Amino acid sequence: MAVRKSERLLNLIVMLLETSQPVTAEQIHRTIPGYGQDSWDTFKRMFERDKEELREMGIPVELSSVDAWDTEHGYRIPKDRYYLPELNLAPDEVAALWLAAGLLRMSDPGPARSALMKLTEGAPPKTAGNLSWLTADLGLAAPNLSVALESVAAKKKVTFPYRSKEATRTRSVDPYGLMQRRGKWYLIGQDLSNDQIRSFRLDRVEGAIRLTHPSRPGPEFEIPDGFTLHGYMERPPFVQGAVPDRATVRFDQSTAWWVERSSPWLRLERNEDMSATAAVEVTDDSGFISWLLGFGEGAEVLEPQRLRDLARLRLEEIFG
Amino acid sequence: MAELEDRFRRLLLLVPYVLRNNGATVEEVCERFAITRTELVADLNLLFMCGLPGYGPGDLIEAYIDGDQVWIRMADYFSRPMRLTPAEGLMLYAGGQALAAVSGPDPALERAMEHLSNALTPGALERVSVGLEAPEELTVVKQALEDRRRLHLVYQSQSKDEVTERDVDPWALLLSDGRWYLLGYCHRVTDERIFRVDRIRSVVQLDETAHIPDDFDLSQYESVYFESDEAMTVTLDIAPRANWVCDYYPLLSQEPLEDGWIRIRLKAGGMAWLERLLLRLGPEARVIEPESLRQRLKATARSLARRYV
Repeated sequence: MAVRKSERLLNLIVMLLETSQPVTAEQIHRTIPGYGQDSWDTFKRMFERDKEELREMGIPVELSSVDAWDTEHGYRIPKDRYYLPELNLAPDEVAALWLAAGLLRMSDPGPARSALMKLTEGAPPKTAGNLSWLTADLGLAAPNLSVALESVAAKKKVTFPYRSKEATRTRSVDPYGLMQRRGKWYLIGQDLSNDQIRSFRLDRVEGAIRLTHPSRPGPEFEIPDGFTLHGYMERPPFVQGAVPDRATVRFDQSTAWWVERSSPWLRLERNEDMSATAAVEVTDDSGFISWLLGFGEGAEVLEPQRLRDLARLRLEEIFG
Repeated sequence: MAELEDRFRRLLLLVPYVLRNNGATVEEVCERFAITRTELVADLNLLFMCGLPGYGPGDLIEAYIDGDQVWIRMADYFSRPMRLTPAEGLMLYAGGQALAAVSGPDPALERAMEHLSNALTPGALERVSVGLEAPEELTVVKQALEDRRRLHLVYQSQSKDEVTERDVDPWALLLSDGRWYLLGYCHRVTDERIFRVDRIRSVVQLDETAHIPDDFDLSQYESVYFESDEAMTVTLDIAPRANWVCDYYPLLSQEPLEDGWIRIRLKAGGMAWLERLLLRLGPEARVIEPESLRQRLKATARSLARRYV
């Protein structure tokens, strides 16, 4: 970023923040010295890039009508979206935020630090260095995490190239939520090509996630009633979907302990010998068999016979 | 030109701070933003030609260092800090969730997280799940770390699938790949070991003081690693449908084969763990090396199949 560009961006922020009504692209071209010498086409290209850069820094540039007849459109930065609301953090809350930021381990601590610069004044509290024995890697360096959250928060449609088992193709998604599991971040949303809710792992996005309509203000979709992130993620894929088949699975004592802890979506009933039995609603046979056999000798499907046969066939493939 | 971009981002933080604390010393400002005096001067120079349209003497921002003091004037519109970006909010929120998992209920932290939500786009964090596990054992481990006391663990290892009891001097807690790990000195194997907290079946704090090496440095532990007497290198061929394996486990190497299959080499902590992974993958994985693993897998599959006859 050249010095001239810094000045241009800063002047653009001031102009769009302080204007009483939206200013048109022509006005911006005429007014801000950094744009003035350039032709209209060059200006348009520069201006588009500048807007994008401001948006990446978290500065909202909105497009709206200049007049009541909707004939001319202009830009502004809405003050209520630009400024931090007055938070009046108590000293113990400030201390908690410093601790929270301090335990994060990541390649780029910039955002955690700049957040503290915005939220707090004065030196870090003495307690900020405590918990030196604690460190957390939450995968926050995942690419596109910021724009993914922005799209979820503002309910904006997104488009991105995504690599799946078959191939890489462009997806258009209504993003409903964002979640971290096992150090990976997932965007959950409606895949508009097949109208299914599914999850997209951010590290499988090839390139950038883009807002489909970056300058359009306001939400672009509704989240269906009854959708919750927890409801979506707590159950593995082989128990999601239509017309479940009910399987009875027995876990031996040491496995039962582990299943109880690692699969909270299952209800285990303890037997007298401390083994446990659970009913599993199966919608994907193959996924279920994989899950079952992953417990090795610790788990056996008792019913139905159909799934017992499938388990046997899978095992025969291994030793056959 | 990443340097100037950083400078610009910093400027958007620095200007509101100076405006709210006009006359602050150069030292204070430099310390807060971790910059030198020269950098501060360069930052302020960027403001030189900026201000309100018209750009006359009454419109431009005034920024200068007077002796030891930093001043900015004519920029009231920058006197309030900017709203948090989604990334900034998410970082602090995620850190707060990790802290809450370890510390248990903390009213100050809860209030701070609530304020944090207010500082973001309304509703932004409602649809974010950091999904951290907080097994009860974490609280006991945390207490022992604070008190510098030894722990007694009943531990079910994943790599060997066996239950052991051991005394451990705790050194640190790490969260990695969504799991909590206890790092410390294990008196049973008389060496440093790392334990998955969710595999601890029970834990109690002992009266003995934990010994922590003077030169212990947590930042040296870049990633969680597994050491085991049974550690071995294996070569597997993985079908296209099972290529998630490549993302989940640290590989030594991988090379593409025909029909989308991939040949991978990885270091595994033990046979039991590997065997279960392979049972799960079924026909979507083939063991290339070592032969002993292939034989063991076949034997296990055969004995399991007998249950289903």
